[in-house]
Amino acid sequence: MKKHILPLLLLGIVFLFVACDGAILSDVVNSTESVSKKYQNIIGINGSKVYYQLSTGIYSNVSGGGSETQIVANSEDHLVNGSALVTIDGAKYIMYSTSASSEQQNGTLHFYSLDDFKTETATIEQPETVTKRELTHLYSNGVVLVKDLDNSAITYRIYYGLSGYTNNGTATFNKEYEITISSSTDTNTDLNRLYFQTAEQVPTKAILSLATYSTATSGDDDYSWKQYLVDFSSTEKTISNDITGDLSGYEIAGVTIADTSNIYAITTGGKLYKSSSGSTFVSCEQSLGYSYTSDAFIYPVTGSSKN
Amino acid sequence: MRYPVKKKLLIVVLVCLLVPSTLFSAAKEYKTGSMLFTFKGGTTLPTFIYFFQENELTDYRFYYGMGSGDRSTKLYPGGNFSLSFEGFTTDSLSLGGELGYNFNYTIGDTLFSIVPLFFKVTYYPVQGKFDLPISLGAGISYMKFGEDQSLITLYANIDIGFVFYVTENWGIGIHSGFWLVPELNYTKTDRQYNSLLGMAPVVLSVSYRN
Repeated sequence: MKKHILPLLLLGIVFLFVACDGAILSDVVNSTESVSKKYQNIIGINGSKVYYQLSTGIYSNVSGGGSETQIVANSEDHLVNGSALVTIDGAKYIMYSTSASSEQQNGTLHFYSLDDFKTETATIEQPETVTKRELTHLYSNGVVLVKDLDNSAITYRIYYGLSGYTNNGTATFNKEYEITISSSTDTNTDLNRLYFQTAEQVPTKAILSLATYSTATSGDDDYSWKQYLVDFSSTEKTISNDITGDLSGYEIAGVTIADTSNIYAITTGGKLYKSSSGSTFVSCEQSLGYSYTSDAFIYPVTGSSKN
Repeated sequence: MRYPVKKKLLIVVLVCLLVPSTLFSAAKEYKTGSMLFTFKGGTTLPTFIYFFQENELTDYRFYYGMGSGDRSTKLYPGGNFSLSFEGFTTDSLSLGGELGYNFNYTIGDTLFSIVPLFFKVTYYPVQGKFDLPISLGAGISYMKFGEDQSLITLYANIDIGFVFYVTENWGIGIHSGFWLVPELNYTKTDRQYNSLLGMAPVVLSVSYRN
């Protein structure tokens, strides 16, 4: 009998360590049905209808709840990858792009009319030197971010302010900004994000952030970031405001504009930066003591004595 | 006189049990030392989860039934497989053990699984071409919920089967019964969540005897 005691004791100790979580059945009875809908974008409201983008396409529904209508269905290699509610000459459209490779190459945008519910297409005109085009993002404020590759460089182009389009022709944007960031052989640098002020429907400024992957000498893999200020009031086509300062060592979590010139940025590591000049984040204002996700909300709040 | 319906039901059940036993129990099939191996597979129906006391996490103490609903167990019918061995100590009583695997999904598609390992004692009032095994089991079970929650706890069951022997050695059968799986938490703070899970299995079996 004695020889069985030690193995049994060891077995008991092992059991205690491998399986001692509590409150399992309470978690079972508190289970909730899995959410089958994955919202990607609330496009906007027109009259009594709300339009939104799910992982399965674009839908509308009556405000306050009703039957859902599918407007655009995702299909294999043809997924809606961006959508926005735009107004052209008083008429409202849902502008969207898809993942189809031919449409990406041509810079094809779709326009779903909220008046006659018909869909038309137009392309974004591109320079002849472009050999490969990718519609990287179509933002809900109507900004289109494009990554172009020509024989020698990677250029990001930002199109803003849609003023019209011709069916099966071209779409016209009021503003176009571009920045050439690296040689075409640079595979370590890629787009991180285009940061807008949270909930700013008509953007005034944005920060284009690029991430460079590098292997530090210590052997640790790491990223560095380079940020550029995009000023939508500027008439200059070329983005030249390379944001300097030690912010480049950190990833931005969110951006807000407190007034016309001061830009505040929080980093994922919890540092708050301020740019008084609008182009250079000179210093870290303070460490907030928190960490944030890369899509954090940040709002300016005006109080009686402090902003 | 007060419960005529229940009395009739009891008589019917007793007749159902005794008639086969009188028909088929003329000769004892098993003797001391006989062995029996059984593989079972089928479904388990979650019936209730009972919390021994009010606690911070649950709105009620008693949850019953399957699927969604405020007071349901939030579990769907699941699957169950097991392998057992029995050795006869007399001509109608066996001692044995069983190892199984049971799984149920919650309404949120999270996997809830139980691996019972238990000793059992089985009585065979009817044996021969047809067996009527009635088992009581007790042991331990490994309970796992989702990816990162698990607990080793106790297990008890009752099982009633009806097995038809197609040949002298091979038989097929159907079994049902009831499982009781208590969640007995180890830490003092978690003991308010101590609870009892009840499951009803319905399984088919293949048996081999010698």
